[in-house]
Amino acid sequence: MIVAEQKSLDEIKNLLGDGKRVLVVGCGTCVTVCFAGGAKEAGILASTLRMNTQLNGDPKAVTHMTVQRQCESEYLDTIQDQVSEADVVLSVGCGIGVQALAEKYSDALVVPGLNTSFMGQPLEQGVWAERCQACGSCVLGVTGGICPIARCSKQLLNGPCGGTDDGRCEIDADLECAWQLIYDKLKTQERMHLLMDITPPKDWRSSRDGGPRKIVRKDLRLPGQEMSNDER
Amino acid sequence: MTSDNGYKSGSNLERMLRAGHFAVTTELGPPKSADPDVIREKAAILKGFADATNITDNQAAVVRMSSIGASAITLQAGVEPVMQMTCRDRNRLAMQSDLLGAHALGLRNVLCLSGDHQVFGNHPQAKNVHDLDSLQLVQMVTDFREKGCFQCGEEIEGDSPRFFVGAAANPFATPLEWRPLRLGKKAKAGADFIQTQLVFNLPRFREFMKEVVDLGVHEQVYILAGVGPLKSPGMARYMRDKLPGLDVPDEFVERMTAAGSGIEDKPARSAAWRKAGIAICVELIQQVREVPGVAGVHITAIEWEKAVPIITEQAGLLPRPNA
Amino acid sequence: MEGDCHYLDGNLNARRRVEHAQQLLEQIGLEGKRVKMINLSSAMGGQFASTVAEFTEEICQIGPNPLHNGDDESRTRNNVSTHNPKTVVGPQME
Repeated sequence: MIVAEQKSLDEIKNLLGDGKRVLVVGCGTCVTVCFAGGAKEAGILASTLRMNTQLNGDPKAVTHMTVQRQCESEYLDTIQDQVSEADVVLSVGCGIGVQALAEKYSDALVVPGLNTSFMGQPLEQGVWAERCQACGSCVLGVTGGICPIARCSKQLLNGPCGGTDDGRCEIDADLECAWQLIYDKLKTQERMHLLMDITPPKDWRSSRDGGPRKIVRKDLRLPGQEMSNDER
Repeated sequence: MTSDNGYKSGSNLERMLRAGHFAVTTELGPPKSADPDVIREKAAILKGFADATNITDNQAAVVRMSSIGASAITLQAGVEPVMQMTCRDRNRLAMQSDLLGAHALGLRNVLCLSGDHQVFGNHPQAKNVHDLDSLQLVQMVTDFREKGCFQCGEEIEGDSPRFFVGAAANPFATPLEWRPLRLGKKAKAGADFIQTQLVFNLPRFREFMKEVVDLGVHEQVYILAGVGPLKSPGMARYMRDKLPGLDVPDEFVERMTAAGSGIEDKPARSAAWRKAGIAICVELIQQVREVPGVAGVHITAIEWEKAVPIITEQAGLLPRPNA
Repeated sequence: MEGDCHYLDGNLNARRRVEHAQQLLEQIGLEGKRVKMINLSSAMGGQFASTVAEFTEEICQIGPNPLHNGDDESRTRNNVSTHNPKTVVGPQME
């Protein structure tokens, strides 16, 4: 899931600028389950902004709406009226939601209320950790299900480095050394030969390094849709 | 591809090790400025006391003069450098480009490292590169020599760099049982020599080397044991408690503390500590020399280059032979 | 008392939420002290009374909610007096 955190109130106020009518838009998917921008958080943020700006003598009229998924434009139809009545739209969706809103309502001023951080999973209530870097060519099959791109601080493919300290990463004792985990797992699985092979340099083209990515699934394209360059 | 006389690179370090001498390498940290004289002064201190000198590459992720630049100055000063290259700051294009330049400047030894993470240094906000890891870098550098091609497979037209390639090993980092095998992997990737992390825990080091010898890896690479003089009990404690991957048994902290006890005068106490630190280093050199599979020592006297002549003298490593 | 909730973890969860509410108030620019949570059992009537009186004093010291100031209509409509803090008593607490 996508994991995000709210920006500080000061930063949000700076982004809102002089806008008097603010619409906070929450999202019912990823940011709901990481408690950053769901309906509840959008409501609390709206209330916070109302009260704080009133106290400071420059009251803003802040309302809030939440859509099921902010990243898909069909779900954004429902808030059209509210968007047109706002001076600023404060999205507490992930970075994708913010952009989808900005693209759909191109005349609106859309600003982000969150910092989208990573793709990860909850470890326990209130704790999320990064698990995937979307490198585009998954190596989990040969690393015992532990990702060295996301979880090794140096993204080693032939790890560990010499800094492993009692199974922890040199940069943070709270971080497990990904290669210690991989080693332990492959040992249990009796697949140590995978560790002895020298993994060659990664082809980073499938990752963000190759440029912004797009996937086109011909099997899902609807008749009558314009053919993209990839399909021609 | 080797040169006519059978050497891979022809470097002094290579000749020493090939000739069966117990090799000595040391380290020189470039300045945090553009001043070449700092390097010339340090090189002058070390000249004649080692077979080659490592020139660090933004060590501890602190920006210093580049290893390639400082190595070239060191070479001009009459000391053979081992240029260090980390994977932290450069992608494969910059690495290969620098290696071509390094060879053109007369450099012949390269040590391939992952690199300390930038959070430790003075630019923690920087983007982390790690396009390659140290094993892939070793392979890339040896491929220049063995296959005459770039990492992408394209043939190098004209002079192909022929380096004596080194890598690091840490016998004290977990998982412990994996480390000898990882050393073997570096040998498989083409490494010619290995420098280990600082050895203080001799029993652990002996266990490590026994496994290495059992695997036959000591015949595939020349292994130099890392040693270094302690300056103070504080340094010993810091290395024991704070630096990752270092194993400093309590006895050394105690010895260093005892060396200065009862001495009130600060300069005198400091001198006593340093004397003890050198004595410990000399002992360790003599002990690792006896461990089967060890082909030399790598002496790291951090910001204390003047200790190297003393240590090498007391450890019976002088004069350095001409290979 | 804390941890002895009829609802097991109930009063621990409530404590966490009250602290969060206090932080939100501070962030807004109001005093976090306007919200308080105390653990009492149903047998501690006397303590309840004195605690509430004490809290009333504290609130009077802090002063009226500035967001309701000058808004007579809303005060009347909500029957809010400037000097009566709201007291919420949970269900039977052991």
